[in-house]
Amino acid sequence: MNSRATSFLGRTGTGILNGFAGAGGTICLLGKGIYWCKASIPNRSKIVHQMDVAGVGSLPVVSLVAIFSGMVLSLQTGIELSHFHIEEMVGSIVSVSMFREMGPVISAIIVAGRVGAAMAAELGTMRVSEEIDALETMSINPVRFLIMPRLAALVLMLPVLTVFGILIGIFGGAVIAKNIMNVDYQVFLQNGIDFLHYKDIFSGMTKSVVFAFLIAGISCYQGMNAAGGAEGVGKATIRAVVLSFLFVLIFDYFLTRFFY
Amino acid sequence: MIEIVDIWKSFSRKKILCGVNLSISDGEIMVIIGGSGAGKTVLLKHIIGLLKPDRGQIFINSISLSTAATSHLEKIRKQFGMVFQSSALLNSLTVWENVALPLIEHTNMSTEEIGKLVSEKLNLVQLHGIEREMPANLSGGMKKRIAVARAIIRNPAIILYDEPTSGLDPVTGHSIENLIVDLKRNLNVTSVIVTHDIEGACRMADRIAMLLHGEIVEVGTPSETRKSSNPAIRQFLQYEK
Ligand SMILES: Nc1ncnc2c1ncn2[C@@H]1O[C@H](COP(=O)(O)OP(=O)(O)OP(=O)(O)O)[C@@H](O)[C@H]1O
Ligand SMILES: [Mg+2]
Repeated sequence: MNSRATSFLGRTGTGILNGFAGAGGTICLLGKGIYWCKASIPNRSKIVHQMDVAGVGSLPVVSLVAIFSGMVLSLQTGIELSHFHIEEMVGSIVSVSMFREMGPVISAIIVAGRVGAAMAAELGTMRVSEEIDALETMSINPVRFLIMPRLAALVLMLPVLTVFGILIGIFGGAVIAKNIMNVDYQVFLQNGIDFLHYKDIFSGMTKSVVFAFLIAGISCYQGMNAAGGAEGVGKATIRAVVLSFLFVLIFDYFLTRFFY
Repeated sequence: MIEIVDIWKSFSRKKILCGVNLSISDGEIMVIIGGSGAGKTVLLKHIIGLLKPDRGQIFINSISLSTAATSHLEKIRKQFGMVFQSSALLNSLTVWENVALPLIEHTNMSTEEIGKLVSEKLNLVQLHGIEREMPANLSGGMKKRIAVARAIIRNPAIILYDEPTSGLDPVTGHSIENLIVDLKRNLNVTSVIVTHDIEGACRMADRIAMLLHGEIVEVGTPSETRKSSNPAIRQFLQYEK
Protein backbone atom coordinates (compact mmCIF):
# COMPACT_ATOMS: atom_id res chain seq x y z
CA MET A 1 0.00 0.00 0.00
CA ASN A 2 2.70 2.35 1.11
CA SER A 3 4.96 1.36 -1.75
CA ARG A 4 2.09 1.77 -4.20
CA ALA A 5 1.54 5.28 -2.89
CA THR A 6 5.21 6.16 -3.26
CA SER A 7 5.36 4.72 -6.75
CA PHE A 8 2.27 6.75 -7.67
CA LEU A 9 3.89 9.88 -6.25
CA GLY A 10 7.11 8.99 -8.00
CA ARG A 11 5.37 8.61 -11.33
CA THR A 12 3.42 11.83 -10.89
CA GLY A 13 6.63 13.63 -9.97
CA THR A 14 8.47 12.23 -12.97
CA GLY A 15 5.55 13.20 -15.18
CA ILE A 16 5.58 16.78 -13.93
CA LEU A 17 9.36 17.02 -14.29
CA ASN A 18 9.17 15.60 -17.82
CA GLY A 19 6.48 18.14 -18.63
CA PHE A 20 8.69 21.00 -17.49
CA ALA A 21 11.67 19.55 -19.34
CA GLY A 22 9.56 19.28 -22.51
CA ALA A 23 8.29 22.83 -22.15
CA GLY A 24 11.82 24.11 -21.57
CA GLY A 25 13.16 22.12 -24.49
CA THR A 26 10.41 23.37 -26.78
CA ILE A 27 11.02 27.01 -25.84
CA CYS A 28 14.76 26.51 -26.29
CA LEU A 29 14.25 24.91 -29.72
CA LEU A 30 11.92 27.76 -30.74
CA GLY A 31 14.54 30.28 -29.62
CA LYS A 32 17.22 28.58 -31.70
CA GLY A 33 14.82 28.36 -34.65
CA ILE A 34 14.12 32.09 -34.44
CA TYR A 35 17.85 32.80 -34.12
CA TRP A 36 18.60 30.83 -37.29
CA CYS A 37 16.05 32.87 -39.24
CA LYS A 38 19.06 35.12 -39.82
CA ALA A 39 20.11 32.49 -42.36
CA SER A 40 16.77 32.54 -44.14
CA ILE A 41 18.06 34.16 -47.35
CA PRO A 42 20.54 31.42 -48.29
CA ASN A 43 18.00 28.79 -47.22
CA ARG A 44 15.03 30.36 -48.99
CA SER A 45 14.48 27.40 -51.31
CA LYS A 46 13.92 25.14 -48.27
CA ILE A 47 11.48 27.67 -46.79
CA VAL A 48 9.56 27.96 -50.06
CA HIS A 49 9.37 24.18 -50.28
CA GLN A 50 7.95 23.96 -46.75
CA MET A 51 5.52 26.80 -47.50
CA ASP A 52 4.25 24.81 -50.43
CA VAL A 53 3.88 21.64 -48.36
CA ALA A 54 2.36 23.32 -45.32
CA GLY A 55 0.37 26.17 -46.85
CA VAL A 56 -0.70 25.33 -50.37
CA GLY A 57 -1.26 21.70 -49.41
CA SER A 58 -3.60 22.66 -46.58
CA LEU A 59 -5.67 25.04 -48.67
CA PRO A 60 -8.35 22.55 -49.85
CA VAL A 61 -9.03 21.17 -46.35
CA VAL A 62 -9.05 24.61 -44.75
CA SER A 63 -11.50 25.91 -47.37
CA LEU A 64 -13.81 22.96 -46.97
CA VAL A 65 -13.89 23.13 -43.18
CA ALA A 66 -14.17 26.93 -43.19
CA ILE A 67 -17.08 27.07 -45.64
CA PHE A 68 -19.09 24.55 -43.65
CA SER A 69 -18.29 26.28 -40.36
CA GLY A 70 -19.49 29.58 -41.83
CA MET A 71 -22.65 27.91 -43.12
CA VAL A 72 -23.45 26.25 -39.79
CA LEU A 73 -22.73 29.44 -37.87
CA SER A 74 -25.01 31.41 -40.17
CA LEU A 75 -27.77 28.82 -39.98
CA GLN A 76 -27.70 28.38 -36.20
CA THR A 77 -27.62 32.08 -35.34
CA GLY A 78 -29.93 33.05 -38.19
CA ILE A 79 -32.68 30.74 -36.95
CA GLU A 80 -32.48 32.21 -33.45
CA LEU A 81 -32.30 35.79 -34.71
CA SER A 82 -35.32 35.29 -36.94
CA HIS A 83 -37.43 34.66 -33.80
CA PHE A 84 -36.72 38.28 -32.93
CA HIS A 85 -37.03 39.40 -36.58
CA ILE A 86 -33.47 40.68 -36.66
CA GLU A 87 -32.04 38.04 -39.00
CA GLU A 88 -30.19 40.74 -40.98
CA MET A 89 -27.80 40.89 -37.97
CA VAL A 90 -26.47 37.46 -38.94
CA GLY A 91 -23.79 39.12 -41.08
CA SER A 92 -22.19 40.81 -38.12
CA ILE A 93 -22.17 37.66 -35.99
CA VAL A 94 -20.65 35.54 -38.73
CA SER A 95 -17.93 38.00 -39.66
CA VAL A 96 -16.98 38.98 -36.11
CA SER A 97 -16.81 35.41 -34.84
CA MET A 98 -14.96 34.29 -37.95
CA PHE A 99 -12.29 36.97 -37.53
CA ARG A 100 -11.91 36.76 -33.79
CA GLU A 101 -12.23 33.09 -33.14
CA MET A 102 -13.31 30.57 -35.73
CA GLY A 103 -10.87 31.46 -38.51
CA PRO A 104 -7.67 31.34 -36.45
CA VAL A 105 -8.70 28.28 -34.42
CA ILE A 106 -10.06 26.22 -37.31
CA SER A 107 -6.97 26.84 -39.44
CA ALA A 108 -4.66 26.13 -36.52
CA ILE A 109 -6.40 22.85 -35.67
CA ILE A 110 -6.27 21.68 -39.27
CA VAL A 111 -2.64 22.69 -39.65
CA ALA A 112 -1.74 21.01 -36.34
CA GLY A 113 -3.36 17.79 -37.48
CA ARG A 114 -1.97 17.88 -40.97
CA VAL A 115 1.34 19.76 -40.93
CA GLY A 116 2.33 19.34 -37.27
CA ALA A 117 1.85 15.58 -37.48
CA ALA A 118 3.88 15.43 -40.68
CA MET A 119 6.68 17.48 -39.12
CA ALA A 120 6.87 15.26 -36.05
CA ALA A 121 6.78 12.06 -38.11
CA GLU A 122 9.35 13.28 -40.61
CA LEU A 123 11.80 14.62 -38.05
CA GLY A 124 11.21 11.61 -35.80
CA THR A 125 12.03 9.23 -38.62
CA MET A 126 15.17 11.21 -39.39
CA ARG A 127 16.14 11.05 -35.74
CA VAL A 128 15.72 7.30 -35.31
CA SER A 129 17.38 6.51 -38.65
CA GLU A 130 20.43 8.58 -37.58
CA GLU A 131 19.96 11.13 -40.38
CA ILE A 132 20.13 13.97 -37.85
CA ASP A 133 23.34 12.52 -36.38
CA ALA A 134 24.71 12.35 -39.91
CA LEU A 135 23.91 16.04 -40.44
CA GLU A 136 25.78 16.87 -37.24
CA THR A 137 28.84 14.92 -38.35
CA MET A 138 28.82 17.00 -41.54
CA SER A 139 28.81 20.19 -39.39
CA ILE A 140 25.34 20.98 -40.70
CA ASN A 141 23.29 22.49 -37.91
CA PRO A 142 20.01 20.53 -37.77
CA VAL A 143 18.13 23.55 -36.41
CA ARG A 144 19.19 25.70 -39.35
CA PHE A 145 18.75 22.91 -41.88
CA LEU A 146 15.48 21.35 -40.68
CA ILE A 147 13.72 23.40 -38.00
CA MET A 148 14.12 26.98 -39.23
CA PRO A 149 12.54 26.38 -42.68
CA ARG A 150 9.57 24.60 -41.10
CA LEU A 151 9.09 27.29 -38.47
CA ALA A 152 9.42 30.17 -40.92
CA ALA A 153 7.09 28.53 -43.43
CA LEU A 154 4.39 27.92 -40.84
CA VAL A 155 4.60 31.42 -39.36
CA LEU A 156 4.25 32.87 -42.86
CA MET A 157 1.56 30.52 -44.11
CA LEU A 158 -0.80 30.04 -41.17
CA PRO A 159 -1.97 33.70 -41.17
CA VAL A 160 -2.50 33.46 -44.93
CA LEU A 161 -4.53 30.29 -44.51
CA THR A 162 -6.45 31.97 -41.70
CA VAL A 163 -7.43 34.99 -43.81
CA PHE A 164 -8.41 32.68 -46.60
CA GLY A 165 -10.50 30.53 -44.25
CA ILE A 166 -12.21 33.59 -42.77
CA LEU A 167 -13.20 34.95 -46.18
CA ILE A 168 -14.49 31.59 -47.37
CA GLY A 169 -16.38 31.09 -44.10
CA ILE A 170 -18.06 34.47 -44.44
CA PHE A 171 -18.96 33.65 -48.02
CA GLY A 172 -20.54 30.37 -46.90
CA GLY A 173 -22.46 32.21 -44.19
CA ALA A 174 -23.73 34.76 -46.71
CA VAL A 175 -24.98 32.07 -49.08
CA ILE A 176 -26.97 30.41 -46.30
CA ALA A 177 -28.31 33.77 -45.06
CA LYS A 178 -29.52 34.58 -48.57
CA ASN A 179 -31.07 31.22 -49.36
CA ILE A 180 -32.61 30.32 -46.02
CA MET A 181 -33.13 33.55 -44.09
CA ASN A 182 -33.58 35.67 -47.19
CA VAL A 183 -30.96 38.21 -46.12
CA ASP A 184 -29.49 40.06 -49.10
CA TYR A 185 -25.79 39.73 -49.77
CA GLN A 186 -25.43 43.48 -49.53
CA VAL A 187 -27.17 43.69 -46.16
CA PHE A 188 -25.14 40.74 -44.87
CA LEU A 189 -21.88 42.34 -45.98
CA GLN A 190 -22.77 45.83 -44.75
CA ASN A 191 -23.68 44.45 -41.33
CA GLY A 192 -20.49 42.44 -41.25
CA ILE A 193 -18.32 45.46 -42.02
CA ASP A 194 -20.17 47.84 -39.67
CA PHE A 195 -19.69 45.67 -36.61
CA LEU A 196 -16.13 44.62 -37.33
CA HIS A 197 -13.40 46.56 -35.50
CA TYR A 198 -9.74 46.75 -36.37
CA LYS A 199 -9.11 45.07 -33.05
CA ASP A 200 -10.99 41.97 -34.21
CA ILE A 201 -8.80 41.67 -37.26
CA PHE A 202 -5.65 42.39 -35.28
CA SER A 203 -6.43 39.92 -32.50
CA GLY A 204 -7.31 37.20 -35.01
CA MET A 205 -4.05 37.66 -36.87
CA THR A 206 -2.01 37.76 -33.65
CA LYS A 207 -3.63 34.51 -32.61
CA SER A 208 -2.76 32.81 -35.85
CA VAL A 209 0.91 33.87 -35.59
CA VAL A 210 1.10 32.64 -32.00
CA PHE A 211 -0.57 29.36 -32.99
CA ALA A 212 1.98 28.90 -35.76
CA PHE A 213 4.85 29.21 -33.29
CA LEU A 214 3.13 26.79 -30.92
CA ILE A 215 2.44 24.14 -33.55
CA ALA A 216 5.89 24.34 -35.15
CA GLY A 217 7.69 24.41 -31.79
CA ILE A 218 5.78 21.50 -30.27
CA SER A 219 5.85 19.32 -33.39
CA CYS A 220 9.53 19.90 -34.15
CA TYR A 221 10.53 19.30 -30.54
CA GLN A 222 8.58 16.04 -30.37
CA GLY A 223 10.06 14.88 -33.68
CA MET A 224 13.64 15.81 -32.77
CA ASN A 225 13.33 13.92 -29.49
CA ALA A 226 11.73 10.76 -30.83
CA ALA A 227 13.46 7.59 -29.70
CA GLY A 228 12.94 3.89 -30.12
CA GLY A 229 12.23 3.08 -33.75
CA ALA A 230 8.91 3.18 -35.56
CA GLU A 231 6.92 2.96 -32.35
CA GLY A 232 8.76 5.97 -30.95
CA VAL A 233 7.97 7.96 -34.08
CA GLY A 234 4.30 7.06 -33.71
CA LYS A 235 4.26 8.19 -30.10
CA ALA A 236 6.05 11.43 -30.96
CA THR A 237 3.47 12.14 -33.66
CA ILE A 238 0.56 11.51 -31.30
CA ARG A 239 2.10 13.78 -28.66
CA ALA A 240 2.76 16.49 -31.24
CA VAL A 241 -0.90 16.57 -32.37
CA VAL A 242 -2.47 16.27 -28.92
CA LEU A 243 -0.20 18.88 -27.35
CA SER A 244 -0.66 21.24 -30.29
CA PHE A 245 -4.47 21.02 -30.02
CA LEU A 246 -4.31 21.53 -26.28
CA PHE A 247 -1.97 24.50 -26.35
CA VAL A 248 -3.77 26.16 -29.25
CA LEU A 249 -6.97 26.13 -27.18
CA ILE A 250 -5.26 27.21 -23.95
CA PHE A 251 -3.49 30.10 -25.67
CA ASP A 252 -6.70 30.97 -27.48
CA TYR A 253 -8.42 31.53 -24.15
CA PHE A 254 -5.64 33.64 -22.69
CA LEU A 255 -5.17 35.69 -25.83
CA THR A 256 -8.90 36.40 -25.90
CA ARG A 257 -8.72 37.47 -22.25
CA PHE A 258 -5.77 39.66 -23.12
CA PHE A 259 -7.50 41.41 -26.02
CA TYR A 260 -11.03 41.82 -24.65
CA MET B 1 46.12 12.60 -33.65
CA ILE B 2 43.17 11.12 -31.79
CA GLU B 3 43.59 10.37 -28.11
CA ILE B 4 40.91 8.49 -26.22
CA VAL B 5 41.59 8.70 -22.51
CA ASP B 6 39.69 6.55 -20.03
CA ILE B 7 36.23 6.74 -21.58
CA TRP B 8 33.30 5.40 -19.56
CA LYS B 9 29.76 5.16 -20.86
CA SER B 10 26.65 3.42 -19.68
CA PHE B 11 23.06 3.48 -20.92
CA SER B 12 20.52 3.25 -18.10
CA ARG B 13 22.86 1.31 -15.77
CA LYS B 14 24.06 -1.00 -18.56
CA LYS B 15 27.83 -0.46 -18.76
CA ILE B 16 29.01 -0.33 -22.36
CA LEU B 17 32.46 1.27 -22.18
CA CYS B 18 34.54 0.85 -19.02
CA GLY B 19 37.74 2.82 -19.36
CA VAL B 20 38.69 2.74 -23.03
CA ASN B 21 42.18 4.04 -23.82
CA LEU B 22 43.47 4.29 -27.36
CA SER B 23 45.55 6.70 -29.34
CA ILE B 24 45.58 6.89 -33.11
CA SER B 25 48.30 8.78 -34.90
CA ASP B 26 48.00 10.85 -38.08
CA GLY B 27 47.78 8.82 -41.26
CA GLU B 28 47.21 5.60 -39.41
CA ILE B 29 44.57 3.02 -40.25
CA MET B 30 43.22 1.74 -36.96
CA VAL B 31 40.76 -1.13 -37.09
CA ILE B 32 38.57 -1.81 -34.08
CA ILE B 33 37.22 -5.34 -33.87
CA GLY B 34 34.91 -6.83 -31.31
CA GLY B 35 31.78 -8.92 -30.96
CA SER B 36 28.31 -7.74 -31.82
CA GLY B 37 27.05 -5.42 -29.09
CA ALA B 38 30.55 -4.84 -27.72
CA GLY B 39 30.14 -1.09 -28.06
CA LYS B 40 32.15 -0.42 -31.22
CA THR B 41 29.56 1.93 -32.69
CA VAL B 42 29.19 3.68 -29.34
CA LEU B 43 32.97 4.22 -29.21
CA LEU B 44 33.03 5.58 -32.77
CA LYS B 45 30.23 8.04 -31.96
CA HIS B 46 32.26 9.30 -29.02
CA ILE B 47 35.21 10.08 -31.29
CA ILE B 48 33.11 12.51 -33.33
CA GLY B 49 31.26 13.90 -30.32
CA LEU B 50 27.79 12.52 -31.10
CA LEU B 51 27.78 10.86 -27.68
CA LYS B 52 29.24 12.38 -24.54
CA PRO B 53 31.23 10.13 -22.22
CA ASP B 54 30.15 9.76 -18.59
CA ARG B 55 33.81 10.07 -17.70
CA GLY B 56 37.04 10.56 -19.60
CA GLN B 57 38.21 12.75 -22.43
CA ILE B 58 38.77 12.63 -26.15
CA PHE B 59 41.37 14.87 -27.76
CA ILE B 60 41.48 15.64 -31.46
CA ASN B 61 44.86 17.21 -32.20
CA SER B 62 45.15 18.04 -28.49
CA ILE B 63 41.76 19.80 -28.39
CA SER B 64 39.32 18.26 -25.96
CA LEU B 65 35.93 17.46 -27.48
CA SER B 66 34.08 17.70 -24.18
CA THR B 67 35.14 21.27 -23.43
CA ALA B 68 34.73 22.57 -27.00
CA ALA B 69 31.79 24.94 -27.52
CA THR B 70 29.17 23.99 -30.10
CA SER B 71 30.54 26.39 -32.72
CA HIS B 72 34.04 25.04 -32.14
CA LEU B 73 32.76 21.48 -32.32
CA GLU B 74 31.34 22.25 -35.75
CA LYS B 75 34.76 23.46 -36.85
CA ILE B 76 36.47 20.34 -35.51
CA ARG B 77 33.93 18.15 -37.26
CA LYS B 78 34.77 19.69 -40.62
CA GLN B 79 37.98 17.64 -40.51
CA PHE B 80 35.89 14.47 -40.16
CA GLY B 81 33.98 12.20 -42.43
CA MET B 82 31.81 9.44 -41.04
CA VAL B 83 30.19 6.37 -42.56
CA PHE B 84 27.34 5.16 -40.37
CA GLN B 85 26.59 1.48 -39.90
CA SER B 86 23.09 2.20 -41.22
CA SER B 87 24.50 4.52 -43.94
CA ALA B 88 22.17 7.30 -42.66
CA LEU B 89 21.60 8.90 -46.07
CA LEU B 90 19.00 11.66 -46.13
CA ASN B 91 15.94 9.95 -47.56
CA SER B 92 14.35 13.14 -48.82
CA LEU B 93 17.31 13.91 -51.11
CA THR B 94 18.56 12.22 -54.27
CA VAL B 95 21.87 10.35 -54.33
CA TRP B 96 23.52 13.32 -56.04
CA GLU B 97 22.21 15.76 -53.43
CA ASN B 98 23.28 13.46 -50.61
CA VAL B 99 26.87 13.25 -51.80
CA ALA B 100 26.98 16.94 -52.72
CA LEU B 101 25.39 18.15 -49.47
CA PRO B 102 28.60 18.96 -47.54
CA LEU B 103 29.86 20.96 -50.52
CA ILE B 104 26.56 22.76 -51.06
CA GLU B 105 26.38 23.70 -47.38
CA HIS B 106 29.99 24.67 -46.75
CA THR B 107 31.48 25.96 -50.00
CA ASN B 108 30.63 28.44 -52.74
CA MET B 109 31.42 26.04 -55.56
CA SER B 110 29.38 26.18 -58.73
CA THR B 111 27.04 23.32 -59.57
CA GLU B 112 29.40 22.13 -62.35
CA GLU B 113 32.38 21.97 -59.99
CA ILE B 114 30.32 20.11 -57.42
CA GLY B 115 28.98 17.77 -60.09
CA LYS B 116 32.51 16.92 -61.21
CA LEU B 117 33.59 16.06 -57.66
CA VAL B 118 30.44 14.05 -57.01
CA SER B 119 30.88 11.84 -60.06
CA GLU B 120 34.58 11.46 -59.26
CA LYS B 121 33.80 10.17 -55.77
CA LEU B 122 30.94 7.98 -56.98
CA ASN B 123 33.39 6.45 -59.48
CA LEU B 124 35.77 5.68 -56.63
CA VAL B 125 33.05 3.58 -54.97
CA GLN B 126 32.13 1.93 -58.30
CA LEU B 127 28.74 3.56 -58.73
CA HIS B 128 27.59 5.14 -61.96
CA GLY B 129 24.36 6.50 -63.34
CA ILE B 130 22.38 6.48 -60.11
CA GLU B 131 22.68 10.19 -59.32
CA ARG B 132 18.97 10.85 -59.76
CA GLU B 133 17.76 7.87 -57.71
CA MET B 134 16.29 8.22 -54.23
CA PRO B 135 18.11 6.30 -51.47
CA ALA B 136 14.97 4.31 -50.62
CA ASN B 137 15.18 2.60 -54.03
CA LEU B 138 18.73 1.34 -53.57
CA SER B 139 20.24 -1.80 -52.07
CA GLY B 140 21.98 -1.76 -48.69
CA GLY B 141 25.41 -2.18 -50.27
CA MET B 142 24.80 0.70 -52.66
CA LYS B 143 23.72 2.94 -49.81
CA LYS B 144 26.86 2.00 -47.89
CA ARG B 145 29.02 3.03 -50.83
CA ILE B 146 27.13 6.30 -51.29
CA ALA B 147 27.73 6.95 -47.60
CA VAL B 148 31.44 6.39 -48.23
CA ALA B 149 31.35 8.82 -51.16
CA ARG B 150 29.61 11.40 -48.97
CA ALA B 151 32.17 10.95 -46.20
CA ILE B 152 35.15 11.52 -48.51
CA ILE B 153 33.68 14.32 -50.64
CA ARG B 154 35.47 17.12 -48.78
CA ASN B 155 38.76 15.22 -48.44
CA PRO B 156 38.61 15.11 -44.63
CA ALA B 157 41.72 14.42 -42.57
CA ILE B 158 40.00 11.80 -40.41
CA ILE B 159 37.41 9.29 -41.61
CA LEU B 160 35.42 7.01 -39.34
CA TYR B 161 33.93 3.92 -40.98
CA ASP B 162 31.33 1.80 -39.19
CA GLU B 163 31.45 -1.54 -40.98
CA PRO B 164 32.23 -0.16 -44.45
CA THR B 165 32.37 -3.56 -46.15
CA SER B 166 29.54 -5.41 -44.46
CA GLY B 167 26.78 -6.27 -46.89
CA LEU B 168 29.07 -5.94 -49.91
CA ASP B 169 30.11 -8.71 -52.29
CA PRO B 170 33.81 -9.66 -51.98
CA VAL B 171 34.82 -7.78 -55.12
CA THR B 172 33.20 -4.48 -54.16
CA GLY B 173 34.32 -5.02 -50.57
CA HIS B 174 37.92 -5.30 -51.75
CA SER B 175 37.62 -2.16 -53.82
CA ILE B 176 36.42 -0.25 -50.75
CA GLU B 177 39.35 -1.64 -48.76
CA ASN B 178 41.72 -0.49 -51.50
CA LEU B 179 40.06 2.91 -51.51
CA ILE B 180 40.66 3.28 -47.77
CA VAL B 181 44.31 2.31 -48.15
CA ASP B 182 44.75 4.62 -51.17
CA LEU B 183 43.31 7.56 -49.22
CA LYS B 184 45.95 6.97 -46.56
CA ARG B 185 48.78 6.60 -49.09
CA ASN B 186 47.85 9.58 -51.24
CA LEU B 187 46.33 12.03 -48.78
CA ASN B 188 47.65 10.76 -45.43
CA VAL B 189 44.09 10.29 -44.18
CA THR B 190 43.63 8.93 -40.66
CA SER B 191 41.06 6.14 -40.64
CA VAL B 192 39.23 4.44 -37.82
CA ILE B 193 37.39 1.38 -39.04
CA VAL B 194 34.96 -0.78 -37.12
CA THR B 195 34.49 -4.24 -38.55
CA HIS B 196 33.78 -7.89 -37.83
CA ASP B 197 35.82 -9.01 -40.78
CA ILE B 198 39.24 -9.86 -39.34
CA GLU B 199 40.65 -10.90 -42.71
CA GLY B 200 39.84 -7.52 -44.19
CA ALA B 201 41.13 -5.88 -41.03
CA CYS B 202 44.49 -7.56 -41.47
CA ARG B 203 44.68 -6.43 -45.09
CA MET B 204 43.98 -2.76 -44.33
CA ALA B 205 45.15 -2.07 -40.84
CA ASP B 206 48.31 -0.53 -39.52
CA ARG B 207 47.12 -1.59 -36.10
CA ILE B 208 44.17 -3.60 -34.84
CA ALA B 209 42.46 -2.97 -31.50
CA MET B 210 40.21 -5.52 -29.85
CA LEU B 211 37.27 -4.20 -27.84
CA LEU B 212 36.04 -6.67 -25.25
CA HIS B 213 33.87 -6.18 -22.16
CA GLY B 214 34.07 -2.40 -22.54
CA GLU B 215 37.84 -2.21 -22.71
CA ILE B 216 40.53 -2.32 -25.37
CA VAL B 217 42.20 -5.59 -24.44
CA GLU B 218 44.89 -5.65 -27.10
CA VAL B 219 46.38 -3.35 -29.71
CA GLY B 220 48.88 -4.55 -32.29
CA THR B 221 49.90 -4.79 -35.93
CA PRO B 222 48.09 -7.40 -38.03
CA SER B 223 50.95 -9.88 -37.70
CA GLU B 224 51.04 -9.39 -33.93
CA THR B 225 47.28 -9.88 -33.81
CA ARG B 226 47.54 -13.11 -35.78
CA LYS B 227 50.08 -14.43 -33.27
CA SER B 228 48.15 -13.15 -30.25
CA SER B 229 47.57 -15.51 -27.38
CA ASN B 230 44.44 -13.65 -26.25
CA PRO B 231 41.63 -16.23 -26.29
CA ALA B 232 39.04 -13.76 -27.61
CA ILE B 233 41.23 -12.89 -30.59
CA ARG B 234 42.11 -16.54 -31.19
CA GLN B 235 38.39 -17.26 -31.35
CA PHE B 236 37.85 -14.48 -33.87
CA LEU B 237 40.68 -15.84 -36.05
CA GLN B 238 39.54 -19.42 -35.73
CA TYR B 239 36.02 -18.81 -37.04
CA GLU B 240 37.21 -16.59 -39.86
CA LYS B 241 38.28 -19.52 -42.08
N1 LIG C 1 21.28 5.07 -27.56
C1 LIG C 1 21.37 3.92 -26.86
N2 LIG C 1 20.57 3.73 -25.80
C2 LIG C 1 20.66 2.59 -25.07
N3 LIG C 1 21.51 1.61 -25.33
C3 LIG C 1 22.33 1.74 -26.37
C4 LIG C 1 22.30 2.91 -27.20
N4 LIG C 1 23.23 2.76 -28.16
C5 LIG C 1 23.81 1.56 -27.95
N5 LIG C 1 23.27 0.94 -26.89
C6 LIG C 1 23.68 -0.36 -26.35
O1 LIG C 1 25.08 -0.40 -26.34
C7 LIG C 1 25.55 -1.70 -26.70
C8 LIG C 1 26.62 -1.58 -27.75
O2 LIG C 1 26.04 -1.08 -28.94
P1 LIG C 1 26.88 -0.85 -30.24
O3 LIG C 1 25.93 -0.38 -31.28
O4 LIG C 1 28.05 0.01 -29.96
O5 LIG C 1 27.39 -2.31 -30.60
P2 LIG C 1 28.39 -2.71 -31.76
O6 LIG C 1 29.65 -3.15 -31.12
O7 LIG C 1 28.48 -1.62 -32.75
O8 LIG C 1 27.64 -3.96 -32.35
P3 LIG C 1 27.43 -4.37 -33.88
O9 LIG C 1 28.69 -5.02 -34.31
O10 LIG C 1 26.31 -5.34 -33.83
O11 LIG C 1 27.13 -3.13 -34.64
C9 LIG C 1 24.35 -2.50 -27.13
O12 LIG C 1 24.06 -3.43 -26.12
C10 LIG C 1 23.24 -1.50 -27.23
O13 LIG C 1 22.06 -2.06 -26.74
MG1 LIG D 1 27.75 -1.23 -34.55
